[in-house]
Amino acid sequence: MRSRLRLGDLFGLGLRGLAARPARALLTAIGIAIGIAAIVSVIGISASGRADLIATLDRLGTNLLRVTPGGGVLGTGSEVPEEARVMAERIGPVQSATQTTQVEASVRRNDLIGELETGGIAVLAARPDLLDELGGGVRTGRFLDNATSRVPAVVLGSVSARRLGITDLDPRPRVFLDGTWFTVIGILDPLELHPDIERSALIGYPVADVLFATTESPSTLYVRASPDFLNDVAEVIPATVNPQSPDAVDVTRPSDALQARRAADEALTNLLIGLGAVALLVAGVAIANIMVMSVLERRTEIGVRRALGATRRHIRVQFLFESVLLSGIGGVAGTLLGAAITVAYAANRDLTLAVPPQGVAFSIGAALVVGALAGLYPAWRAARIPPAEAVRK
Amino acid sequence: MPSVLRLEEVTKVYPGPPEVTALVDIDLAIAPGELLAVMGPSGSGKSTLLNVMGALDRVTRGTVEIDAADIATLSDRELSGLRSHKIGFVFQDFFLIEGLDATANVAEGLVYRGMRRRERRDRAVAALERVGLGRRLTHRPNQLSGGERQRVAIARALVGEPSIVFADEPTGNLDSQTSEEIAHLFTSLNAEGATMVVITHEHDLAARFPRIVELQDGRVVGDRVR
Repeated sequence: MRSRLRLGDLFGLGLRGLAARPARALLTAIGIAIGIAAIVSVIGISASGRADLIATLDRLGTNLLRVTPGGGVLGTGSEVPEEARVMAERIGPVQSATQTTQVEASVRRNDLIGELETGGIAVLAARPDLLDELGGGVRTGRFLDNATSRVPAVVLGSVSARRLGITDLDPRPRVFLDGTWFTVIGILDPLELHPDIERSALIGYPVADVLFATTESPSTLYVRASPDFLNDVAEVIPATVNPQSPDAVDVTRPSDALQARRAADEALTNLLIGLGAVALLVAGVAIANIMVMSVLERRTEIGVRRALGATRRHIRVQFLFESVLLSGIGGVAGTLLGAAITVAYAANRDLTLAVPPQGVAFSIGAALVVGALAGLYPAWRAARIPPAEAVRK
Repeated sequence: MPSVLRLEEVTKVYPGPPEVTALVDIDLAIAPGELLAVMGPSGSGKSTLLNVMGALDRVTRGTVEIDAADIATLSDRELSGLRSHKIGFVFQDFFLIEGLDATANVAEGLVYRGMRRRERRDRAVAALERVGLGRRLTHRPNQLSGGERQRVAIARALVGEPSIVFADEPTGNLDSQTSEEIAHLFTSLNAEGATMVVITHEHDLAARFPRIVELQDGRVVGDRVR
């Protein structure tokens, strides 16, 4: 002769308990929903953003070093040996190296424009393998090759092209480089890690030598090395490329900027998730509050149920379940809302959509745990109400 | 014949301060099939007696046996089991669930039996027919009159076929005409075999029942069988 409550009936009791005060249940669930939506959307948006960042890093590689051996922007440092690149290539783990050299010339749209109005565009001599080494591409036309390096041909960085007002290669546009007309044969895609190339006009070394007496002494070296030995290479490279004044050599890793952005993103994400967790906590306190109130209001119901044969445990489980149900509804609604925010954001920003299922599972789990914790005390109180007292008139 | 309910020297003291002695040395035995009224002015200890008899509260001294089981030896859980199987309650304020129709309200009396929903409903319909509400099965409490609501509450108390039913001032909220009908219902349910204890302060109602136990200041001052 034992009291028994079927699981299905427990479910019914919980739903009915909430349905009896729908507005209150709704308002309480909204609190949970906001916390969960914040967490899910932050996880989703940062995962989507990170997916893009990782794709970019994968494409560009993180094993490229940018070496400026001349010492300073003004190029007033000591003479860098013309063999610097070849010497760098001789370092064991170095896979390849290429270079650019500053050309003493300015580029203008035509000969009527003043010599000083360069638009901030640098003229660089570049080797034909530069673009491949940097992982870049041409938007239109083609890059320099051995043949076009010998003639007055120029490839424009994406920013330079915009500044010169050249959007396509039809009809064959020309630009004016210190007394010589150069034909534009290509325009580059944006190079996010190499803003200096984006803002330059690239010509071949042979033609630079002939027209502007440019030497092979590099102003920037690009060295791609085996990732495992990247730090070692960075350490020995200054003495290798500029034995006279190794201190003047600047070695940077362009992908560091992206990595830093990624780290900053992660820190911000963690902060936002923390805020979401705080919202969840506050919502949990609200649930506990509402449930305590509900227990007080429903003393009679509790008494009647006890009179009908409910054990203390049945009462406890009923209120606990109501609390979990409340937070569960909030959790599911919040997850849907968070996912919707993520989808909208990703679509708006053209990001690859990535809502990590573990994140979603975690937040729904968190909502349920919050609900259970919030329900513990009210449920305990409900179960302790003496039945005789609860049905007293 | 063994008693359904037996009280022996039952004393109930509510711990104070101030300490209140609600029942003093009550001896009472109720046989199966009895219909009795427990009568007394307010403050005489009627409600405490009901709580003690219905295993809703424990006594300070003495013995309470329900179906030969001494409830002092039972755990809270076992007492709940006892209530779900052997005891039915009817309250003055009905205490029906507003959102549920009559059938579901009555079926709620079987929820803690672990019975399947279908069976609960079938039994609830039968119980409602027994109290004369066969045509009000799907009405909600707010669509029913006071007398009909009390009938639903009585059906809920009866639906589990308990050994004994306690009714606490069942006509306290009803007009005299309706009270009359409820009293008649008790008599006819008793004639069908139900054991019932009706707590009341109304002489007219008590006078209709075969046995009247009178309570005053926590003591039994009269126990008459007509």
